[in-house]
Amino acid sequence: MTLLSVSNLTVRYKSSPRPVVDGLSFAIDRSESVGLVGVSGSGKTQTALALLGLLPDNAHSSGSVRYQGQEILGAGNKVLNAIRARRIAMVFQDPGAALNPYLRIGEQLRQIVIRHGMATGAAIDARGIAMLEKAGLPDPERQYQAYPHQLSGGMRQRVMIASALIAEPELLIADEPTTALDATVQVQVLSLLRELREEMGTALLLITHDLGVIAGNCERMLVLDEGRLLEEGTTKAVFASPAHERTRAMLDTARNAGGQAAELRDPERKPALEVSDLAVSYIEPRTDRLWGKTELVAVQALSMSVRPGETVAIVGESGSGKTSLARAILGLVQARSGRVCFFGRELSGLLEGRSNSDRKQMQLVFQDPVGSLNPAMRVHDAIAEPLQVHEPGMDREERDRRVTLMLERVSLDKKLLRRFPHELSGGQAQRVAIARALIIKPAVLICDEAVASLDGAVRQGVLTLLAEEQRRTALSIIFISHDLNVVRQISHRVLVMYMGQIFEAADSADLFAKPLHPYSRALIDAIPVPDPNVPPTKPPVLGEAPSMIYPPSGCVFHPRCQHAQDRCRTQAPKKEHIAGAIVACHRASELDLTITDSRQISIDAL
Amino acid sequence: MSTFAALGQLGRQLGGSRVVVITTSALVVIALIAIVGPLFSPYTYLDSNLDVRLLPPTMDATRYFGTDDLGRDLFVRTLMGVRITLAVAIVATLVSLVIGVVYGAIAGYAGGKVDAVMMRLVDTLYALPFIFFVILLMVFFERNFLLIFVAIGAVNWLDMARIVRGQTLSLKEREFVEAARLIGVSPTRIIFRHITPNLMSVVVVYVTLTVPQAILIESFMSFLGLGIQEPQTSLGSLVNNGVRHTEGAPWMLFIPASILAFILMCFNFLGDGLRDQLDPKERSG
Repeated sequence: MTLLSVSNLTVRYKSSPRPVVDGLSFAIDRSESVGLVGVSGSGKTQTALALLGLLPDNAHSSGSVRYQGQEILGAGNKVLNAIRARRIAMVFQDPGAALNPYLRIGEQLRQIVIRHGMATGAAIDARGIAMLEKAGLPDPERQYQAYPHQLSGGMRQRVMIASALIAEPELLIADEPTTALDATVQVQVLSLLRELREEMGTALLLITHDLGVIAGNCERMLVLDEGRLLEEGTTKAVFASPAHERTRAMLDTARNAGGQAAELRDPERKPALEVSDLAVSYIEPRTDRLWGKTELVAVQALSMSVRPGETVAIVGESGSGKTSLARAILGLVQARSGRVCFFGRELSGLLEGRSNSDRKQMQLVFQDPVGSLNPAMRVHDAIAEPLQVHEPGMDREERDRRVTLMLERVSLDKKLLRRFPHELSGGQAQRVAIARALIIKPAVLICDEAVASLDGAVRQGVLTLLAEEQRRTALSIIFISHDLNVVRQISHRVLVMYMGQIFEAADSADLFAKPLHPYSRALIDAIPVPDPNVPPTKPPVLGEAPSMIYPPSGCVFHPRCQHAQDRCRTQAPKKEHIAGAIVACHRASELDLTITDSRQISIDAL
Repeated sequence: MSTFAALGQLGRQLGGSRVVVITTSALVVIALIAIVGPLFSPYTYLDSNLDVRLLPPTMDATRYFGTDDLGRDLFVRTLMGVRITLAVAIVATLVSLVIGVVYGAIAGYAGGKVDAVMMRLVDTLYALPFIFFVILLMVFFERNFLLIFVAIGAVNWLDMARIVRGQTLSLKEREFVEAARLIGVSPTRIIFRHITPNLMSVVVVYVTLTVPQAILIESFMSFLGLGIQEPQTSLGSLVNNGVRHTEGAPWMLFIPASILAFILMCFNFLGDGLRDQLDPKERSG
């Protein structure tokens, strides 16, 4: 039975002549799960907002949205309020922004229960707590009294789901519900959504750019492109034989992140960059007392090296110390101890202590491409500036020539030279940032989540560019990412980090075939597989990484580890060398974590 | 170059707002009248004619605004006042702009001890009672035009420095500044090429709010008799003079007072308009 039918939905903004959603028609049946997929800017979120009458004032929507036969597009607030939350609920991308920071979780749930007259008196709170429990929050009574900031990101998204489902709606619209979360947490939230839907029979409209998420969670899918419906069908059918070329391209990029690692030119060469026993800690004022300071250890005595022409990936959940490590290597923060050596020569701990010729050897590409470019500087000036600094004698013509050359190398059009950063797309801006970093020919390039904000083909393009540059100049790349799918192909070696320590360091191919540490295995299992025939995985680890201020005893991973034993709780594991890899786990030699199930086959088939 | 680019970008953004366009044109028209106007009057601001004391405004005899208690033509004197008032306001604002931006940007970017020392100095200057400071200046030096600029500028740059420092503190944490540091750009170049251009939107708004403040201070000083010296005049001294003749010759008070109020209003609306327009950009980063 049709629950929601949309026909010819068009959304237009006054400022732009082109509609952001253009004649979209689809239907959702009762208890059905439908995926709405498209690259960023394809109108996915605008569609969701239009369905619930949440568009801003300067937007105009036309067409028809019928909920069980009742027209709700353009309906008054009275009609919409009766439907919102009670019939159709929504979960937003950023759980931090969608919860009111001044109200306790309980109060926010109460409001919904009371508004829809679902319980009275003591039953209100009982209902809220029961819902939190269903949403998998540990100790729901306590969380009911908590404020949103006291919960982690994953817990907040669970609260959002609880508050969306507490009124037992018939349809849940989830707009990129897990994009802001770590892969390990994403698996947990998605599996929670599946369980709750099964139990309550709620229909789902899942909006995402990630085809892996769609594959495991939706029966049917809609592909949106530039506001128009590209194609529609069962997920299996679309994945097996996409009708439209653009869908095919999207599937290809989902299956292949791009950026094939180059053959190492000379595996025996001396490392370009060697880090030994580097520790980073931040001194922070105590939050529980007026005086005193606590030390937050972000990176613990870590050693690593990168050879010329090699890509080393550093992976781990957010908060694992990846970025702190990069910043200490670059000298943006002072390491507490340890050494950073460049071709055997020790570098000063702080950037300001390094000579200009040392500085240019290591460059950084940031996650947010637009933020890493000066908003008041044109593309040409941004790319030319490093040359002005390092080769002040160079005349203007030569500099312009080099800038144009560099622009060609990163495949950007010459027309962009006069633009300001905010006039560029994310992918273009990241290419400019890479051009700016590479024009002074550094030996080491550190990419800190450099493709995390890019999707699909754009991401693939940037990864390919990095691999090409490496082939051309034997560049050493340290590639920091939380997304193992990206790391897979571009890296030669992978370091798995957890709470400031290296858990496993192995060759990329070995790690993805036979991880030695349970945490590495969990990270690989958390990758959403873009194949609807692979059953969605159970969460490989539970919960989120604990606070760095109060690390667990023994092996810091033991509270989340399925294989933990008594000695893991009391004794920190030593690093062992096993088959060319370094691993820090008591049980590394006895556990067999080889990936043999259907997941591995499907990943390899990509 | 980059600073101009930022200003150009700003100009383009400002194109749309009605408030900004109207207030800016009104101010330009007033300034033009103040400069050109006196040429169309047979009188100068000095000519006093005791036979025509306290003449009410009339269209004939070209006494558009009447005359004052010494028989001087008020039309010419009011325009003269507008010129001086605007000049004082704009020059004082420019003085505070240059000192404030450079001082604030350096303190904010240097941080640590340098910042602490520089900002405590600002705090100390803040603690000086302004009028006391002006009277001291007047006592030690001759009363002159320049002194007013100095006095007003010396007070206004403190605010500017604080605002610029605050903005710089947040800008220097931005990734593009870190990127510049990694490339090896020198601190001076970072301040002037990367930080200052990005301060422009905030500074421009603040400047339009500083101008009316400077006008008010000048008027206040003139009103107290510490400002512009006769026979030169400013809107403040005209109002001061007018107050004494409110009963017999109300035009002596109301004409310059209305013009003063109008100019202040224009600047305030301009500031509000600019702020409204630039805020969304600030938020989206």
